[in-house]
Amino acid sequence: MSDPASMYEDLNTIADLDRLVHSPARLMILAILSTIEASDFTFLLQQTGLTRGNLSTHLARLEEGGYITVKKEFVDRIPRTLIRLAPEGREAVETYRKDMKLIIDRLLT
Amino acid sequence: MTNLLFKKLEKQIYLRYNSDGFIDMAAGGMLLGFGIFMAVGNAALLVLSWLPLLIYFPLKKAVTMPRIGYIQFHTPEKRARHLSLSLAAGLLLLALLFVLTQVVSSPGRNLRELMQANLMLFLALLFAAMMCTAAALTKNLRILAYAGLTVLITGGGSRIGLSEPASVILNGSLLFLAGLFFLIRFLRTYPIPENGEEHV
Repeated sequence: MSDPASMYEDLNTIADLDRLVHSPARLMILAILSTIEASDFTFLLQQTGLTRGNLSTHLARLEEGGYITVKKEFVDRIPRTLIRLAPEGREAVETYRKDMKLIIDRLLT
Repeated sequence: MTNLLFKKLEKQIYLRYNSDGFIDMAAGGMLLGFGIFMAVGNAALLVLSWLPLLIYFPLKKAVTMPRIGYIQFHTPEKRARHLSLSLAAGLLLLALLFVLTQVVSSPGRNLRELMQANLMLFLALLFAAMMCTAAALTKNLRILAYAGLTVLITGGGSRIGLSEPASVILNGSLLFLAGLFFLIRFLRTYPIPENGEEHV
Protein backbone atom coordinates (compact mmCIF):
# COMPACT_ATOMS: atom_id res chain seq x y z
CA MET A 1 0.00 0.00 0.00
CA SER A 2 1.25 3.52 -0.74
CA ASP A 3 2.01 5.84 2.17
CA PRO A 4 -0.56 8.57 3.08
CA ALA A 5 1.77 11.45 2.13
CA SER A 6 2.25 10.09 -1.35
CA MET A 7 -1.49 9.42 -1.69
CA TYR A 8 -2.20 13.00 -0.64
CA GLU A 9 0.22 14.25 -3.32
CA ASP A 10 -1.46 12.06 -5.95
CA LEU A 11 -4.91 13.30 -5.02
CA ASN A 12 -3.65 16.86 -5.15
CA THR A 13 -2.61 16.31 -8.76
CA ILE A 14 -6.24 15.49 -9.55
CA ALA A 15 -7.48 18.56 -7.69
CA ASP A 16 -4.94 20.74 -9.51
CA LEU A 17 -6.04 19.65 -12.97
CA ASP A 18 -6.68 22.66 -15.22
CA ARG A 19 -10.50 22.99 -15.26
CA LEU A 20 -10.39 24.99 -18.48
CA VAL A 21 -8.80 22.00 -20.23
CA HIS A 22 -10.53 19.22 -18.27
CA SER A 23 -14.00 19.75 -19.77
CA PRO A 24 -14.58 17.11 -22.52
CA ALA A 25 -15.78 19.65 -25.10
CA ARG A 26 -12.88 22.04 -24.52
CA LEU A 27 -10.40 19.17 -24.45
CA MET A 28 -11.74 18.07 -27.84
CA ILE A 29 -11.27 21.58 -29.24
CA LEU A 30 -7.76 21.89 -27.81
CA ALA A 31 -6.78 18.41 -29.03
CA ILE A 32 -7.91 19.24 -32.56
CA LEU A 33 -6.18 22.62 -32.57
CA SER A 34 -2.96 21.11 -31.25
CA THR A 35 -2.70 18.82 -34.29
CA ILE A 36 -3.14 21.60 -36.88
CA GLU A 37 -1.98 25.19 -37.31
CA ALA A 38 -5.43 26.86 -37.49
CA SER A 39 -9.01 26.24 -38.55
CA ASP A 40 -12.27 28.07 -38.97
CA PHE A 41 -15.49 27.74 -36.97
CA THR A 42 -17.15 25.34 -39.47
CA PHE A 43 -14.29 22.86 -39.25
CA LEU A 44 -14.38 22.72 -35.45
CA LEU A 45 -18.16 22.36 -35.62
CA GLN A 46 -17.84 19.34 -37.93
CA GLN A 47 -15.04 17.74 -35.95
CA THR A 48 -16.47 18.13 -32.46
CA GLY A 49 -20.16 17.55 -33.23
CA LEU A 50 -21.08 20.34 -30.82
CA THR A 51 -23.93 22.75 -31.49
CA ARG A 52 -23.07 26.24 -32.77
CA GLY A 53 -23.99 27.91 -29.50
CA ASN A 54 -22.11 25.38 -27.42
CA LEU A 55 -18.98 25.66 -29.53
CA SER A 56 -19.15 29.48 -29.42
CA THR A 57 -19.38 29.40 -25.61
CA HIS A 58 -16.43 27.04 -25.20
CA LEU A 59 -14.32 29.00 -27.69
CA ALA A 60 -15.10 32.23 -25.83
CA ARG A 61 -13.98 30.65 -22.53
CA LEU A 62 -10.77 29.34 -24.07
CA GLU A 63 -10.10 32.74 -25.61
CA GLU A 64 -10.68 34.45 -22.26
CA GLY A 65 -8.20 32.05 -20.69
CA GLY A 66 -5.64 32.97 -23.34
CA TYR A 67 -5.47 29.39 -24.64
CA ILE A 68 -6.61 30.18 -28.17
CA THR A 69 -6.53 33.21 -30.44
CA VAL A 70 -9.52 34.12 -32.59
CA LYS A 71 -8.89 36.26 -35.62
CA LYS A 72 -11.69 37.50 -37.85
CA GLU A 73 -10.81 38.11 -41.48
CA PHE A 74 -12.44 38.46 -44.88
CA VAL A 75 -11.54 36.09 -47.69
CA ASP A 76 -13.18 36.98 -51.04
CA ARG A 77 -15.56 39.23 -49.07
CA ILE A 78 -16.70 36.26 -46.97
CA PRO A 79 -16.09 36.51 -43.22
CA ARG A 80 -13.92 33.80 -41.72
CA THR A 81 -13.08 33.25 -38.06
CA LEU A 82 -9.63 31.73 -37.83
CA ILE A 83 -8.97 29.93 -34.56
CA ARG A 84 -5.52 28.80 -33.46
CA LEU A 85 -3.90 27.45 -30.32
CA ALA A 86 -1.93 30.08 -28.41
CA PRO A 87 1.46 29.14 -26.90
CA GLU A 88 -0.23 29.20 -23.46
CA GLY A 89 -2.84 26.74 -24.75
CA ARG A 90 -0.18 24.42 -26.13
CA GLU A 91 1.60 24.49 -22.79
CA ALA A 92 -1.67 23.86 -20.94
CA VAL A 93 -2.44 20.81 -23.10
CA GLU A 94 1.06 19.44 -22.51
CA THR A 95 0.80 19.99 -18.74
CA TYR A 96 -2.64 18.36 -18.71
CA ARG A 97 -1.28 15.39 -20.69
CA LYS A 98 1.58 14.92 -18.20
CA ASP A 99 -0.74 15.28 -15.18
CA MET A 100 -3.20 12.76 -16.55
CA LYS A 101 -0.41 10.31 -17.31
CA LEU A 102 0.88 10.72 -13.78
CA ILE A 103 -2.58 10.12 -12.31
CA ILE A 104 -3.17 7.04 -14.42
CA ASP A 105 0.30 5.67 -13.71
CA ARG A 106 0.12 6.21 -9.94
CA LEU A 107 -3.51 5.60 -9.09
CA LEU A 108 -4.98 3.36 -11.70
CA THR A 109 -2.23 0.85 -12.41
CA MET B 1 -4.11 10.92 -23.62
CA THR B 2 -0.87 10.13 -25.39
CA ASN B 3 1.07 11.59 -28.31
CA LEU B 4 -0.12 8.53 -30.24
CA LEU B 5 -3.69 9.79 -29.92
CA PHE B 6 -2.64 13.18 -31.31
CA LYS B 7 -0.95 11.48 -34.26
CA LYS B 8 -4.10 9.42 -34.86
CA LEU B 9 -6.25 12.54 -34.67
CA GLU B 10 -3.95 14.36 -37.09
CA LYS B 11 -4.21 11.47 -39.55
CA GLN B 12 -8.00 11.40 -39.23
CA ILE B 13 -8.15 15.13 -39.99
CA TYR B 14 -5.95 14.68 -43.08
CA LEU B 15 -8.12 11.77 -44.25
CA ARG B 16 -11.35 13.69 -43.75
CA TYR B 17 -9.92 16.70 -45.60
CA ASN B 18 -9.01 14.44 -48.52
CA SER B 19 -12.18 12.32 -48.46
CA ASP B 20 -13.66 14.46 -51.26
CA GLY B 21 -12.04 12.29 -53.96
CA PHE B 22 -10.49 15.25 -55.81
CA ILE B 23 -6.97 13.89 -55.48
CA ASP B 24 -8.11 10.54 -56.94
CA MET B 25 -9.91 12.32 -59.78
CA ALA B 26 -6.87 14.52 -60.46
CA ALA B 27 -4.55 11.51 -60.72
CA GLY B 28 -7.12 9.61 -62.83
CA GLY B 29 -7.74 12.64 -65.06
CA MET B 30 -4.03 13.05 -65.69
CA LEU B 31 -3.67 9.39 -66.66
CA LEU B 32 -6.80 9.55 -68.85
CA GLY B 33 -5.47 12.63 -70.67
CA PHE B 34 -2.11 10.97 -71.16
CA GLY B 35 -3.72 7.73 -72.36
CA ILE B 36 -5.94 9.54 -74.87
CA PHE B 37 -2.89 11.51 -76.05
CA MET B 38 -1.08 8.21 -76.63
CA ALA B 39 -4.05 6.83 -78.57
CA VAL B 40 -4.80 9.94 -80.65
CA GLY B 41 -1.34 11.54 -80.80
CA ASN B 42 -2.67 15.08 -80.38
CA ALA B 43 -0.14 17.14 -78.34
CA ALA B 44 -2.92 19.43 -77.06
CA LEU B 45 -4.24 16.49 -75.07
CA LEU B 46 -0.86 16.15 -73.37
CA VAL B 47 -1.16 19.74 -72.15
CA LEU B 48 -4.80 19.12 -71.15
CA SER B 49 -3.74 16.12 -69.06
CA TRP B 50 -2.20 18.60 -66.56
CA LEU B 51 -5.54 20.45 -66.26
CA PRO B 52 -6.78 18.35 -63.29
CA LEU B 53 -3.84 19.57 -61.23
CA LEU B 54 -4.63 23.20 -62.08
CA ILE B 55 -8.29 22.93 -61.07
CA TYR B 56 -7.58 20.88 -57.92
CA PHE B 57 -7.23 23.82 -55.50
CA PRO B 58 -10.13 25.92 -56.93
CA LEU B 59 -12.37 22.83 -56.59
CA LYS B 60 -11.17 22.26 -53.04
CA LYS B 61 -12.03 25.86 -52.22
CA ALA B 62 -15.44 25.77 -53.92
CA VAL B 63 -16.66 22.31 -52.84
CA THR B 64 -14.71 21.03 -49.83
CA MET B 65 -14.18 24.12 -47.68
CA PRO B 66 -17.84 25.25 -47.51
CA ARG B 67 -18.70 21.74 -46.26
CA ILE B 68 -16.01 20.80 -43.79
CA GLY B 69 -14.48 24.18 -43.15
CA TYR B 70 -11.08 25.72 -43.60
CA ILE B 71 -7.93 24.14 -42.15
CA GLN B 72 -4.37 25.35 -42.08
CA PHE B 73 -2.29 22.26 -41.49
CA HIS B 74 1.06 23.97 -41.14
CA THR B 75 2.70 27.30 -40.44
CA PRO B 76 3.57 29.36 -43.58
CA GLU B 77 7.25 28.37 -43.09
CA LYS B 78 6.45 24.66 -42.98
CA ARG B 79 4.09 25.04 -45.98
CA ALA B 80 6.89 26.74 -47.95
CA ARG B 81 9.24 23.88 -47.02
CA HIS B 82 6.69 21.29 -48.20
CA LEU B 83 6.13 23.22 -51.43
CA SER B 84 9.90 23.43 -52.04
CA LEU B 85 10.25 19.69 -51.43
CA SER B 86 7.34 18.93 -53.79
CA LEU B 87 8.84 21.18 -56.47
CA ALA B 88 12.23 19.52 -56.00
CA ALA B 89 10.58 16.08 -56.30
CA GLY B 90 8.73 17.23 -59.45
CA LEU B 91 11.95 18.58 -61.00
CA LEU B 92 13.75 15.35 -60.14
CA LEU B 93 11.00 13.37 -61.87
CA LEU B 94 11.22 15.61 -64.94
CA ALA B 95 15.00 15.16 -64.96
CA LEU B 96 14.53 11.38 -64.72
CA LEU B 97 12.03 11.51 -67.58
CA PHE B 98 14.53 13.52 -69.65
CA VAL B 99 17.34 11.03 -68.94
CA LEU B 100 14.95 8.19 -69.78
CA THR B 101 14.08 9.65 -73.19
CA GLN B 102 17.77 10.37 -73.87
CA VAL B 103 18.77 6.81 -73.04
CA VAL B 104 15.97 5.41 -75.21
CA SER B 105 16.87 7.58 -78.20
CA SER B 106 20.66 7.14 -78.00
CA PRO B 107 22.03 4.20 -79.96
CA GLY B 108 24.29 1.33 -78.98
CA ARG B 109 23.48 0.67 -75.36
CA ASN B 110 22.10 -2.39 -73.65
CA LEU B 111 20.19 -0.20 -71.23
CA ARG B 112 18.54 1.47 -74.21
CA GLU B 113 17.09 -1.84 -75.36
CA LEU B 114 15.94 -2.66 -71.88
CA MET B 115 14.19 0.68 -71.52
CA GLN B 116 12.73 0.58 -75.02
CA ALA B 117 11.19 -2.76 -74.20
CA ASN B 118 9.82 -1.54 -70.87
CA LEU B 119 9.29 2.17 -71.49
CA MET B 120 5.69 2.11 -70.26
CA LEU B 121 6.72 0.35 -67.09
CA PHE B 122 9.37 3.00 -66.42
CA LEU B 123 6.80 5.76 -67.06
CA ALA B 124 4.39 3.98 -64.72
CA LEU B 125 7.12 3.82 -62.06
CA LEU B 126 7.68 7.58 -62.44
CA PHE B 127 3.97 8.28 -62.10
CA ALA B 128 3.82 5.90 -59.13
CA ALA B 129 6.69 7.86 -57.52
CA MET B 130 4.62 11.05 -57.97
CA MET B 131 1.66 9.36 -56.31
CA CYS B 132 3.85 8.15 -53.43
CA THR B 133 4.91 11.77 -52.85
CA ALA B 134 1.24 12.81 -52.86
CA ALA B 135 0.42 9.96 -50.44
CA ALA B 136 3.16 11.10 -48.06
CA LEU B 137 1.99 14.74 -48.21
CA THR B 138 -1.68 13.91 -47.68
CA LYS B 139 -1.08 10.95 -45.31
CA ASN B 140 -3.42 8.98 -47.57
CA LEU B 141 -2.66 5.28 -47.95
CA ARG B 142 -5.30 4.99 -50.70
CA ILE B 143 -2.95 6.85 -53.07
CA LEU B 144 -0.19 4.36 -52.29
CA ALA B 145 -2.59 1.62 -53.41
CA TYR B 146 -3.17 3.58 -56.65
CA ALA B 147 0.60 3.75 -57.19
CA GLY B 148 0.74 -0.06 -56.91
CA LEU B 149 -2.30 -0.41 -59.21
CA THR B 150 -0.64 1.81 -61.85
CA VAL B 151 2.48 -0.37 -61.95
CA LEU B 152 0.37 -3.55 -61.88
CA ILE B 153 -1.97 -2.53 -64.73
CA THR B 154 0.88 -1.23 -66.87
CA GLY B 155 3.05 -4.28 -66.26
CA GLY B 156 0.19 -6.77 -66.40
CA GLY B 157 -1.58 -5.08 -69.33
CA SER B 158 1.27 -5.79 -71.74
CA ARG B 159 1.34 -9.42 -70.67
CA ILE B 160 -2.36 -9.95 -71.45
CA GLY B 161 -2.06 -8.17 -74.79
CA LEU B 162 -3.61 -4.86 -73.76
CA SER B 163 -2.24 -2.00 -75.85
CA GLU B 164 -0.22 0.67 -74.02
CA PRO B 165 -2.79 3.49 -74.47
CA ALA B 166 -5.59 1.12 -73.44
CA SER B 167 -3.85 0.15 -70.18
CA VAL B 168 -3.20 3.82 -69.31
CA ILE B 169 -6.83 4.74 -70.12
CA LEU B 170 -8.08 1.79 -68.06
CA ASN B 171 -5.90 2.84 -65.13
CA GLY B 172 -6.98 6.49 -65.40
CA SER B 173 -10.66 5.52 -65.66
CA LEU B 174 -10.44 3.33 -62.55
CA LEU B 175 -8.84 6.11 -60.51
CA PHE B 176 -11.27 8.72 -61.84
CA LEU B 177 -14.30 6.52 -61.09
CA ALA B 178 -12.98 5.83 -57.58
CA GLY B 179 -12.61 9.61 -57.09
CA LEU B 180 -16.16 10.17 -58.37
CA PHE B 181 -17.45 7.56 -55.90
CA PHE B 182 -15.63 9.31 -53.02
CA LEU B 183 -16.91 12.71 -54.17
CA ILE B 184 -20.55 11.53 -54.21
CA ARG B 185 -20.12 9.98 -50.76
CA PHE B 186 -18.48 13.18 -49.51
CA LEU B 187 -21.31 15.39 -50.86
CA ARG B 188 -23.88 13.15 -49.18
CA THR B 189 -22.00 13.00 -45.88
CA TYR B 190 -21.24 16.71 -45.67
CA PRO B 191 -24.02 18.98 -46.90
CA ILE B 192 -23.33 22.72 -46.80
CA PRO B 193 -24.22 23.98 -43.29
CA GLU B 194 -27.37 26.14 -43.29
CA ASN B 195 -25.84 29.13 -41.55
CA GLY B 196 -22.44 30.16 -42.78
CA GLU B 197 -19.76 31.55 -40.56
CA GLU B 198 -20.51 32.11 -36.89
CA HIS B 199 -18.63 34.78 -35.02
CA VAL B 200 -17.22 33.88 -31.67
